[in-house]
Amino acid sequence: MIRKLLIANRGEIAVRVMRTARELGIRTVAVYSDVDRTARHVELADEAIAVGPPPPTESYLNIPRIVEAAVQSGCEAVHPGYGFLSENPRFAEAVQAAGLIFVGPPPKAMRLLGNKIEARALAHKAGVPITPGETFDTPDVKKVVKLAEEIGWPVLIKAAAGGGGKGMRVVHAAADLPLAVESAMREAGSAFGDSTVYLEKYLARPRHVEFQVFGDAHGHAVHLGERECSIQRRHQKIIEESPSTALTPELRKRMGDAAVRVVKAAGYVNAGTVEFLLDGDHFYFLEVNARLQVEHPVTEFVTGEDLVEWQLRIASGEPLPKRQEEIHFRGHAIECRIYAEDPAHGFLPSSGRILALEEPHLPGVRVDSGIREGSDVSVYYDPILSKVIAGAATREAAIRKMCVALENYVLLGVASPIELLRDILSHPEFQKGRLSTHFLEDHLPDWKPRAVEDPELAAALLAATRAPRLGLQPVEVAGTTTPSPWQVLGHWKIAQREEKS
Amino acid sequence: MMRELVHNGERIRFTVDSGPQGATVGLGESRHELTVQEHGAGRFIICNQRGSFAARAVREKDRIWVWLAGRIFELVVPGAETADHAHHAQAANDVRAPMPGTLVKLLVAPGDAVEKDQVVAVVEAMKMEHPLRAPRAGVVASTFGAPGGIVDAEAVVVSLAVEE
Repeated sequence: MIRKLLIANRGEIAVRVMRTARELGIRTVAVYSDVDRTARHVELADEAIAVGPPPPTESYLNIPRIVEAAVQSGCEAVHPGYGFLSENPRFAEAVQAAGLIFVGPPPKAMRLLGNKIEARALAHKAGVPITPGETFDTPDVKKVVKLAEEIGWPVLIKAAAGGGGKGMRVVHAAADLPLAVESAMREAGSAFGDSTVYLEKYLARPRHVEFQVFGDAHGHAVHLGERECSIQRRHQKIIEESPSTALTPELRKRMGDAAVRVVKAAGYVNAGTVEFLLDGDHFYFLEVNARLQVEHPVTEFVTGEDLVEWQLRIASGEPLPKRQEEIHFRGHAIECRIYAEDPAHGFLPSSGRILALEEPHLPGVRVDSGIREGSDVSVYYDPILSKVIAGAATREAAIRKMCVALENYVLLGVASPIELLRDILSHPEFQKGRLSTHFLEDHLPDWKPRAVEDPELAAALLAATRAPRLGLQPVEVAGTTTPSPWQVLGHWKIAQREEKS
Repeated sequence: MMRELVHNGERIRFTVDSGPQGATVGLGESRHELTVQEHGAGRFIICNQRGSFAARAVREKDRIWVWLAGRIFELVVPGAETADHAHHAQAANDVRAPMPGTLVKLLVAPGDAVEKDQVVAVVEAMKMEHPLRAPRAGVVASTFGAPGGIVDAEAVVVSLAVEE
């Protein structure tokens, strides 16, 4: 087993990986940019190493610097988390070239699957249905319009190299294509360093259902069931659950088998996710995410397995911990993503300081969080703050639990979607399990928080007049790579409490 | 006294009459009798006829955030930017009582050197002690009141010598 691990990431996922590493007796090394000097992932690691200025390209995407940090600190392995360098085969190669283990798929499989075009070809060859589509890497509008017309409007433009909705555009007519192509390529280029984009048929009301898969270095592969991720905004998931209300046991088996076929065909090792679009009982291969997913905890709940532990064991050369027939599913789990963004104003990212934070604690609820009170939410990184995962015997009970958890989640200082998430969960269509990737546009368009009634406004105003004024002193920890928790906590002080008219 | 806060771009005029157990909030024509328990800085249990609600409130500059039983209110102090500015200039020299209460300890005397954030006095209100801290390092110019005495909200308790 690996003895010392560098986590090439930040925020909640870095914290998440460290927790399992610690449980397995693995020492952890965090990396951080200048603005993350006192971040929660830095505080939790056994060691922490500065890797550069705040812009990701100079820090969390700085391959030579991160590999150097891993070597210098005596790590044997690197876990990339999700986002940043997690699906960059050049990073995996650089880690391996330095004699270290990359906790993820082999660069070759990553390259194959990380490219949407090659992945589609591979899936097609493995007998897995795909949506009609085509790729291009020039802004040659005539060529692109011709492609779109072959596929049929509307079409979806996606970055070939990445996921997460970056570089993604829906185009309904030829006139809108040039601008969409140009901006999609620019966004893909800046997010992934590769501006190749991809054009495919846009399904009107599909569901997004994905399968968690694992392969080992001994040629075995299994799936750990599905996750339904249909509730999205701007093509990014905000609520995920397992199992999906759309799958019958028969369909689950067909899709699970298809996912495993893709993994085997790619020679895939470690954790991956095979994404499908589901239209009725027709499913289409979408892409493979060659990394641990944000929403992996719902799978952990229904299978009782620790996916990061699986990753670390497989990376250490061990075989898959379980065979397919040994993997059992129980209950229902839901995850809500807490982003620093304002759902009432176009989901605009919100930066600032977390002025108050109380994460919910109740049986069956897990919070994976990368923040604490006093954390600064910087403009440089993905605005995900935390994830709330609720699990119970039935979907109804899991929803109820999640509602209680969100109702008790205190997060002040930045905007968050907590009230929107509660409205989605209590929406009759959601409760009936009738989901699609257009759920928000269809059922909660132009969402605004519920109107405030006078009695609650009166109570809020009274609390406001007694609000303590907070001033957090940033603590300088220059000259040390491992600030003590006492230092990084900083200190709150009540400078002034006032009643102002 | 009529107060004003901005909520969702809308100016809200209201009054707060504090009593021993809580306060009456006047909002338009309606008056809301509330009891309030404070259990730590900015943490409250507020009761009205409908029940009791947990609340958390914090203020940063001209923005007040309130969490009330699962709902979030972002309130802005109208015209606070200028007031804040003046306030900060004063805050550099003065240590003020955050709320009306009893001065239980006065820990410094004129001429004492203090460190930034050093506790210089303690005020008690609603059975809670609130330490008052020096806003910066400096020398105490004067102190006001004596232990056991009553202080008003915003009353200067300790002031530091103005630095050249």
